Amino acid sequence: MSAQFDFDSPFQGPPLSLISDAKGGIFLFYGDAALFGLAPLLAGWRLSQGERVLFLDGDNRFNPYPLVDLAKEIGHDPNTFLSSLFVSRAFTCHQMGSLVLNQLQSGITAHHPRLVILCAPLETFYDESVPLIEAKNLLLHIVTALSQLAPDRIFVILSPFPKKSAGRRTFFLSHLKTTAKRIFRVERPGDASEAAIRITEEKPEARQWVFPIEAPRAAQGYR
Amino acid sequence: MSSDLKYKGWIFDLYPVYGGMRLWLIDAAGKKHRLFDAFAPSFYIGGPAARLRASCTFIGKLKLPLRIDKSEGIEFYSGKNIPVLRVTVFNPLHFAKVVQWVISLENKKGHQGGALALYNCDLSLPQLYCFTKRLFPLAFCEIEAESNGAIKAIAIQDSIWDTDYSIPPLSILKLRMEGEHIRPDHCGPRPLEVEIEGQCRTLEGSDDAAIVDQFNRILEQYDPDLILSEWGDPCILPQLMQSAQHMGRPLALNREPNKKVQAKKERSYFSYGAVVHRSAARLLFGRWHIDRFNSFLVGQTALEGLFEFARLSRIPVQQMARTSTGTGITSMQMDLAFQDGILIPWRKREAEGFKSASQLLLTDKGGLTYAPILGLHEAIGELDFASMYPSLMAKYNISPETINCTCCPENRVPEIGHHLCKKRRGLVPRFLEPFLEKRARYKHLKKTASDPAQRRIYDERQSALKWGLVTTFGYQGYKNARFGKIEAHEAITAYAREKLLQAKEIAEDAGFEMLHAIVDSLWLKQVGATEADYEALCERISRDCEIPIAFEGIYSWLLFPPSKTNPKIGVPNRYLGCFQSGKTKLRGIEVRRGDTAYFIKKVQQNMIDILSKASDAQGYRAALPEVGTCFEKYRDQLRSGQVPFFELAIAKSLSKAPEDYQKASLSAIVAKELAGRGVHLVPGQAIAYVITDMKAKLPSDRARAIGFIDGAWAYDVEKYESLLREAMEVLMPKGIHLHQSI
Ligand SMILES: [Zn+2]
Repeated sequence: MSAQFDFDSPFQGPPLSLISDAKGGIFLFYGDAALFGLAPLLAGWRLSQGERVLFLDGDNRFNPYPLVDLAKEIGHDPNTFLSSLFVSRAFTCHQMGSLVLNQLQSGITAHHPRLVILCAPLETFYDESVPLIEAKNLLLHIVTALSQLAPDRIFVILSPFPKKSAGRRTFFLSHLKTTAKRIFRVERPGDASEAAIRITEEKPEARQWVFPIEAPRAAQGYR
Repeated sequence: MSSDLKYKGWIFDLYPVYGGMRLWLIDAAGKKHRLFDAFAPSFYIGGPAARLRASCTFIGKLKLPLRIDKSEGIEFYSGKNIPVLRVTVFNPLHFAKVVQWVISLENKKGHQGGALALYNCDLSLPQLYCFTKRLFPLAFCEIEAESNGAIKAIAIQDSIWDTDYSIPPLSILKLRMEGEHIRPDHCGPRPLEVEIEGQCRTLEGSDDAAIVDQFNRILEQYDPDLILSEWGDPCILPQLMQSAQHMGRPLALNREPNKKVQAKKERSYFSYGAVVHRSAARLLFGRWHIDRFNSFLVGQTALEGLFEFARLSRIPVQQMARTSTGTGITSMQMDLAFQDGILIPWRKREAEGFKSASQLLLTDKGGLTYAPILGLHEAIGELDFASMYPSLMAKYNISPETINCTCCPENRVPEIGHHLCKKRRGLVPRFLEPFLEKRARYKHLKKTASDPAQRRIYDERQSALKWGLVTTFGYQGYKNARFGKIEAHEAITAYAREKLLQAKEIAEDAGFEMLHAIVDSLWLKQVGATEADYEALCERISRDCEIPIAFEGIYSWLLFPPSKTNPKIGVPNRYLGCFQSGKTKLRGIEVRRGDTAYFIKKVQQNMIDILSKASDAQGYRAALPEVGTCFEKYRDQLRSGQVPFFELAIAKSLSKAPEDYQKASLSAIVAKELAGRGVHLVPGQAIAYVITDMKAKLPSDRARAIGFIDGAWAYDVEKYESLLREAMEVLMPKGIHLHQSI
């Protein structure tokens, strides 16, 4: 897949080479804030092929500007990018549930995306006003629904490290891990320059890459 | 039977007991009556017929006294009647259990055939009771009851829309720790202080048992209706209760016999982009406990505002004290829905519909702002659209069930492509009409009342209503509300942008120059313009924009200070000004900020008082040397080391748990200090500290928690002096650098 891009295309190498050969499946990237720098890159990869992309946002993270920068950089029309990426935001875990269980299918039918990005879906599940058992059950429903949809398209989940204060709910991440085909840990290496990202594969193989991420200016983009 | 008794008085407390509701009434003589009203609450289940049948069987397994029958109700979004199951629970104490049981069915893995929808199931029992019986807390009523207290009839002689209602005679016991208002577990031990009937006493004793005994004797002797505490929720009551339990001493906090004090867990949550913390709560039965440091409404509007909200929302006073005004407003909307036979959906489930990133850019713009023209101005008029967002919702029928309806695609919202229903009046606008009207009446009463005490009461009530509007329908709040929908919020901001632009054009057309505008306010200038000119302009704008705009007044002088990071640009909504009436208006500067030390606030207020005597820009400049003298005086006091720590304490709200902090910010340092002393801290909770040595190598030497700082420490004179200097410099118009000579 990656062979069709120019040598210095931002889409060459990881993270995209890690998923680009797949027909479908759930790919979990979890880590620190560097994680969100991957989002425009991932979206741009499919948008540049004239496809539409769905973006399910659990933490009001969506920021269009890095995507505009990326489009310009690779000689695409930013407006086409912006009108082909479809966003829905959830502010509670029940909304996230409704988004994945009810609305996602109609989004897929309408837009035929090859790539669906779930951004910080667990954030809404850390809300203590929702009983733990209820949040957990809802999450399990979501995970089941995703794995049913996954064979035909790529789902990328971007999940930040749970805060320590998430308490017992930190284990929610492991539910995502069980369902993922491949798992990558994403961090900004402490010893490297600001503009580098380290990706460590945890499943199925143990591998590591460090690469610069300045190309799409993605690192600055996401709040 | 003529053995029935009649009572006249105010509904004081309400809570579920076996088979019904306990209702406490206080009569005009202050006498309390403990009554009982049988009550069987209902909730509803909707969904595919097969699943409904299965849920019947499942509920039957509970073997609790209840009735399930077929019923129907209006689905909120579509407005259509749908068939539902009604589950009536004969003992309200079983209600939560039955609801949880049904939810657990929904959460079971592998169920087939579509989801169940629950309705009216997460209202509190007092709310459900009040909605059903048309009662409200503090309502004045006449009750007919049997001699055992069982209610036969209640006749309300009061309305939530009344503005001249009375409050029952309440005996109040004030409870706090001696000394400053520091949270008790954030400092060393201090004695308890109790104030009742104007007498204040310190509880002293050789041990905890003696303190508990003394406090219990006071409760018995005075039988207060309200315990008004400072930090009673997280500290004082739990401490007293724990001591009483350990020592095996009685502590009769409740009036209801054989009932435990209700403990609610603390929690932290996100609201308006910040972490908010709610302390653990201790709620009483038959008596109120209100912690004035754990109540937004009491903090902002005193008890009058709280009572107003409890009446309107039908949420009992103790609960209302500890909840947000948004919850109160949601309750009012739910009541309206309840009266209409609308099924109240359980939890807010609908997420935003998919929209393209370009649509999102268009719709998610928020309010319109024109950056201020920097510097000192004179003779400036201010115009404000009163309660702009709610007014727009009422005017244009903006509500979650009216936005993008299926019947009125032609009724477009400007700019963003949504449309609104013209056929069905929305729930939110219907709620807003009487609410806005009531606030307008209070504002009018406040202006016309001759008795200052009465004026204050009206002001507190209107201010409570204002907070309700601001927090629920403000720039952030509406998106997440139960009866909120992002698309509806986008429609409001689109209309708001249009109105502000229109107002600007009308003003400029009339020869005014615009200096600054933000969302719903404009600052205008025209040489020689009189109040009458501004009033005439308001009339024109109100007419053309179709929502009311009000004239705030003419400023003698008005200063827009530059941004601290870029001296060339101003900061929206940051200014200080003085109206011709002599009243000052300050926004975004130190005196208004919650994290400014009292000392800095005090000095800046002194400086503003000096400046407020100026009647124009020239007078302002002439007063600056006096401001400089004021600065010198307090700077010298700082340098002498004489300023008490308490005046230098800086309060901050924790954005994270202590262990989640990565960098050594002052908050992080002090949070860790407190955590090290065994203080339990959670995100959103406030801490206060004194800066001791900003440049210290060892982070823990840079700042200390106010509650534990002692004479071995000194404050950082240099740092506080620079804070003081900043507080003065913000008052300096461009080009004037008074401090260089000081
Ligand atoms: Zn319509």
